Amino acid sequence: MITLSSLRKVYPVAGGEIVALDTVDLEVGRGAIFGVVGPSGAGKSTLVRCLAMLDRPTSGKIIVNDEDFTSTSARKLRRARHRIGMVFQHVNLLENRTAAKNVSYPLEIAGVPAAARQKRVAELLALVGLADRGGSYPAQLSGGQKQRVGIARALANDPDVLLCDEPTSALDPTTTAEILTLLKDLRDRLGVTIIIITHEMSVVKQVCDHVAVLEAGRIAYSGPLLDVIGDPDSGMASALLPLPAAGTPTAGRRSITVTFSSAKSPADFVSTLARRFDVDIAIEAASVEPVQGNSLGRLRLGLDHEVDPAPIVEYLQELGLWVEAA
Amino acid sequence: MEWDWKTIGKLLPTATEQTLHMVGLATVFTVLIGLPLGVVLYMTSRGGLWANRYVNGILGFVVNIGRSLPFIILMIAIIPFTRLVVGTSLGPSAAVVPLSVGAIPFFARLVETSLREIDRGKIDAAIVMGSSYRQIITKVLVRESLPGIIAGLTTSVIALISYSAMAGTIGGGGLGFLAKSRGYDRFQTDVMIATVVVIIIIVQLVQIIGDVLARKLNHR
Ligand SMILES: Nc1ncnc2c1ncn2[C@@H]1O[C@H](COP(=O)(O)OP(=O)(O)O)[C@@H](O)[C@H]1O
Ligand SMILES: [Mg+2]
Repeated sequence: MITLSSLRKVYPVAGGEIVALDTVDLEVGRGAIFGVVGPSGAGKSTLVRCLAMLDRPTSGKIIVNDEDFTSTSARKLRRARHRIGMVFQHVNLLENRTAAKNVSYPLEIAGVPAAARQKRVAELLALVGLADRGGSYPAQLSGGQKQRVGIARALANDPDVLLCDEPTSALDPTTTAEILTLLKDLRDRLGVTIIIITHEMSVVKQVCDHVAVLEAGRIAYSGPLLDVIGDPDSGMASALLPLPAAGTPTAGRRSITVTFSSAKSPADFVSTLARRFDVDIAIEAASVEPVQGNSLGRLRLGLDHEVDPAPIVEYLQELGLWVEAA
Repeated sequence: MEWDWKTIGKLLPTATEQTLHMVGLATVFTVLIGLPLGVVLYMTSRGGLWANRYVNGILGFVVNIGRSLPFIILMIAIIPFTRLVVGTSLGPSAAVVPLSVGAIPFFARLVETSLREIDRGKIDAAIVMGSSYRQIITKVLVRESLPGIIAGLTTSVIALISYSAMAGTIGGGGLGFLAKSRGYDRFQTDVMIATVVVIIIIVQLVQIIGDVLARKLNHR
């Protein structure tokens, strides 16, 4: 669906240059909800601007649906843009147009006749659950409603890809969940491929099935979400399932932190462990959440100092759990 | 004080009509030239879609010259140009030239300032949706800042009314000429007062219409 190959973006600055994207290779499959996460300054905004063709990459290719975006003429590019719908953090609706007229804008641009436009706008507003708010101006809508209008507008020309740049970063948690549910629902119903750029791990946890971690302009990790979480080096497990900081260590106990996914490991491993090694186990901290229909968890277990942890760690690894260094 | 209604009735309507003629035509030219000029100033400025240091620098310089000259000096200075365009430097039609030249840079800067208020994200959104430059200018830039542009135009028209009175005193005709030739030169205070009242009414009407229109177009 989307292939980025050796994508590079260099900004010239006084006295040198900044490499914002450094040979980014990425493959996004049709119908995926693909999250791109990374710390501030990693290059997320640059990546999204290149994908949206708001900035030209310095080198490399962006191929959407077999069409090379990086080598099309400006004229063709305007047409190719209809293949991509974009959702913005600050929505960027035209404030002097009603919701319906905002959704109508991309259709006007594409030359759709007025009657067909009206019909399509009604469909789109219904699709995002705002059938009765078409006559409202953006100033009369809540943040979540505005973003729904933004999503409807992005879908107007039936794009193959929905590019979402921090779509929920300006919203409260409840509204965030509603918008993410809507995106998932749209993917299921329309088969549209969704790319979500975000700094919020909770967004990845709630909707993404694939994820890429961007670090200093490079893709550090990418793949199916559960695989990346399962990769101990990716840091995704601790980012998605943060545990409260360890207090003062209880005298005579050592802690080990384990991550498990119900897809790979038996859910009752703690009691199995206790029986098998005849040890007492304290649960010092735990975080368990549903991710993609699996139960995903991280636990900090407390063992008596006398107990040799080595065989326990080995056994847990056999069960498919990942054990962090104590 | 004696009110010579006969003289007022004879002179005031003609003078008012001349003023409206001058200001009306000058307003048309101010919009036709000042609006595109303001848009180009904005588009060529740093970070703009047509960013061009040279074009922006030259236009900005010319606009600033127009703005820095007091109107009365500008009007006298461009008399040869006015003669070239209209054939004469006297009368209301001739006054339209210096009035337009004076108001265009003023209005263009106000347009540019209004356009600057538009969030860059809206322009990005329009580009991503495949808009042409023309569509971005008409459907996004000008439409979104129309309330501000209307407010700027209101201010410009009121400035034009004030300029037109100055133009009147040196041969443009209209209310300014009437106030000077009768009120000042012949001490006809009644004519003077009548002129003042008409100008106040015109300015108030322009302001009210501008305010109502700007409010109607603004949905922010
Ligand atoms: N227009 C620009 N000019 C110069 N440097 C830039 C520009 N845009 C971004 N950068 C630099 O590129 C790097 C990546 O920035 P960005 O893509 O905004 O990261 P993120 O969105 O992940 O925080 C940063 O070091 C930033 O300073
Ligand atoms: Mg950013």
